[in-house]
Amino acid sequence: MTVPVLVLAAVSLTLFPISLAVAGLLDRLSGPLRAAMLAVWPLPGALALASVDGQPPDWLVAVAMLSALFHAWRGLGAEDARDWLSLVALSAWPLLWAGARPPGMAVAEALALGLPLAAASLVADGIERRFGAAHARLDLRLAREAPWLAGLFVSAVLAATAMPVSPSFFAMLSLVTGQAGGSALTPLALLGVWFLWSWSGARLVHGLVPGAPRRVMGGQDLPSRPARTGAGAYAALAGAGLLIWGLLL
Amino acid sequence: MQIVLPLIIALPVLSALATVALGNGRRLRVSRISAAFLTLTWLLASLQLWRAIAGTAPTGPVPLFGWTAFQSDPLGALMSWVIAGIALIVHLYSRRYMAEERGYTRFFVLMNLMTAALLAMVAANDLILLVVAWHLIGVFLYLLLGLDLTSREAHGYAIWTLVTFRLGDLPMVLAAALLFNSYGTWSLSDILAALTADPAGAQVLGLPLPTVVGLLIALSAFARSAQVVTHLWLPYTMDGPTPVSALMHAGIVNAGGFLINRFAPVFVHAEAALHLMFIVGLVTAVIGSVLMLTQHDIKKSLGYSTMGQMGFMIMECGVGAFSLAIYHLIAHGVFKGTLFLGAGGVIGAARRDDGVPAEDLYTFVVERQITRPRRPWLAMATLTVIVPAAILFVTHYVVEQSYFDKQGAIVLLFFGWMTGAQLIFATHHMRAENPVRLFVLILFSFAVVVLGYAFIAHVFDMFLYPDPAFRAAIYKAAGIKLVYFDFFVVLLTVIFVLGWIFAYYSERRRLIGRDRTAALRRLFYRAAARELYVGDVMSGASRVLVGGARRVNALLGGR
Repeated sequence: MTVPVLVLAAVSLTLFPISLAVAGLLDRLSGPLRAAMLAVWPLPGALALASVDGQPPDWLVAVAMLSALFHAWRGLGAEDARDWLSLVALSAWPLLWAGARPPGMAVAEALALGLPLAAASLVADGIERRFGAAHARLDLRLAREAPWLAGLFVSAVLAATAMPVSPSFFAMLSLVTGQAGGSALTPLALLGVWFLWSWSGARLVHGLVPGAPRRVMGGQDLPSRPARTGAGAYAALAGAGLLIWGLLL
Repeated sequence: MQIVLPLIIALPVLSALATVALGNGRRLRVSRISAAFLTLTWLLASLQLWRAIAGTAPTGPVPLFGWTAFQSDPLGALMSWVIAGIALIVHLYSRRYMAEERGYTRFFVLMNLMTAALLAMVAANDLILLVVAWHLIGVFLYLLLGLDLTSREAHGYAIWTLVTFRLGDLPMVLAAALLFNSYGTWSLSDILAALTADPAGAQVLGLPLPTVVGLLIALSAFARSAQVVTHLWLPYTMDGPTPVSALMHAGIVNAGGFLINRFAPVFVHAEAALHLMFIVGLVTAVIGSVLMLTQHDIKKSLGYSTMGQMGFMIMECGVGAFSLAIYHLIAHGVFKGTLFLGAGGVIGAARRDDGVPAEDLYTFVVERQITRPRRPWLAMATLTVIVPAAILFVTHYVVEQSYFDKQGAIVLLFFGWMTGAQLIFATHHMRAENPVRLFVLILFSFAVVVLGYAFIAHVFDMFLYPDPAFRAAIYKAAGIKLVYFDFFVVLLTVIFVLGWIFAYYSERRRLIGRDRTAALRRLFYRAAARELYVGDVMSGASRVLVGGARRVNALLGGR
């Protein structure tokens, strides 16, 4: 495995501290551009690692797992949906360092991890446009103020945290399966990251969604048609998850 | 007829879709659609169970378009029937109970999906399908517990549940991955057949595969069945709608017992996992029962009661009584579901009449009646120790004489003895018009319950595990060296007898105002009322983790 491949992978699959620079880049982007970056950023690294012979050194895999755990843990403290999504992405991408796989499978896993994040980013954008920010301290009470957006946001968080039948669920299952025969530490790191995503995602939903209705706000929900389109998109994502099931497992 | 099994799982999913598509938000129509589909589901599940009992149902995998597979077997048929039945009752109950609640359609959609996930879990022959269903149950429960979107508190407890369930989901993922890596298939029946044929074949990190997988499956079952340390979600999730509580206590929390039974062939070769189950189940049963008795909040008390029962269920698995655990989870499900669904009526009745019996002083001073003398303590204590032991021994001897050859069965008899003694002893404290008649009735009821329990447990054994060699193998795996077992039996007996003597002297000394153990008991009561500080430790750990993450985020420039 050559140095250029490793450098490309370190940037694309965000090893710490390079991940901090990538976080800065993600922070500057918004809208479809940010969503696109969340979907495709890990592809070059995953493809590069899969295309060459041999596996990355163990110490690099260990750094990758620690990077993932570090950012997943940071997610617990995130109160802004944008920040949280960045942290989930920065903890998901390094997981692709684990194990050798054919290029097609590597691309499928990277996309399966990235697509739910991209979709969630678009939903978070929708909240920001209507309320100024998607921040837990704003006490948005989305469930009452914007029920459609709230429903989409909950779906987005569940999909991003690799709940079934999101594509990321099957990607995580595939990653754990690929690692289960070897050292115990890598699968445990994978499971640890998965657990922290769920916890931090539920905390974010708790900050943004429930709460008693207010009279001063309201009328800022998505119109019915785009909302139904969004729901359809999530149904399609679930369908993609089932396809990924067949492809990866 | 292979279509019946997939249909049982598909119908609740179709019901969820039809509820949204055809209900148009009209409450009556929504509930009618849902109830109709669930009735059909239950009828099909009944047919499936009937065929399994009659022996006409084909046993083995039922492939679904070559993509996944279900398992047609007695365990799945029985559990499907129980789940469909409880779900139907909860649906029918909810039609009127939820009528004035917000999110009526959402509630029925989620209940349908939850039912489908539970049915898929018990019917899965594909490990991936099992893992997916296992995860989905946690997700749907999280959404159902947070149904009231105005209550941040309810949502907070829903998070607790989700996080605990995730903690239990992940060992199962690892177990599935290890099994796939070792046997190259996701088919549960193929894996279990291969493992039974060559149990010592595969190793993980130098340990036998069945031991590692057994421990991982046990961990998953512990989190789902509220075993000690992972139990806090259960007593704190009473803010959800009552029908959800009923389904949760009757059908979801029991899933741990089912999972252990599904992987029974693994546990035949995983003695360590069985011993761990026994210890964790025992500790959970004791702690759950103690906390149940010391809570001031009736709902929390019910939650801890379920925790205690789940402890017994896991303990039964730990001693090798797998089919008994299934019977226990069904009996507990029916009993606890009834309790929750009847809660509204009980509250209404309590508002009319509190039902608290008059105190002796009240009876004597206000009603001018002489209070009836109670039976003497020591005689009652002796009677309560001997009578239940005799009943238990005779009934089990009548039902199955080989029962006494199994170590696990003898351990369970001790708990039956203790429960019976406690029950009969409680009559000593009860005030009745005719105490002797009450005592005889309770004694008779106990005998009937024990006989029924022993007989039904025997029938379950024959139905779920018809191969006597397999049953013997599970009991053997759960056994320990005879010398340790004898020591354990003597220890239990000594604890039991000393406990009675302690109770006797404490009561007498308390009556004459010389109770030296009062300070110790107060200390214990304070700790139990505070739920043994488990919640405080968990909350503290959570605060440290979240606070640390916030500080690091602030340093690195987060919002």
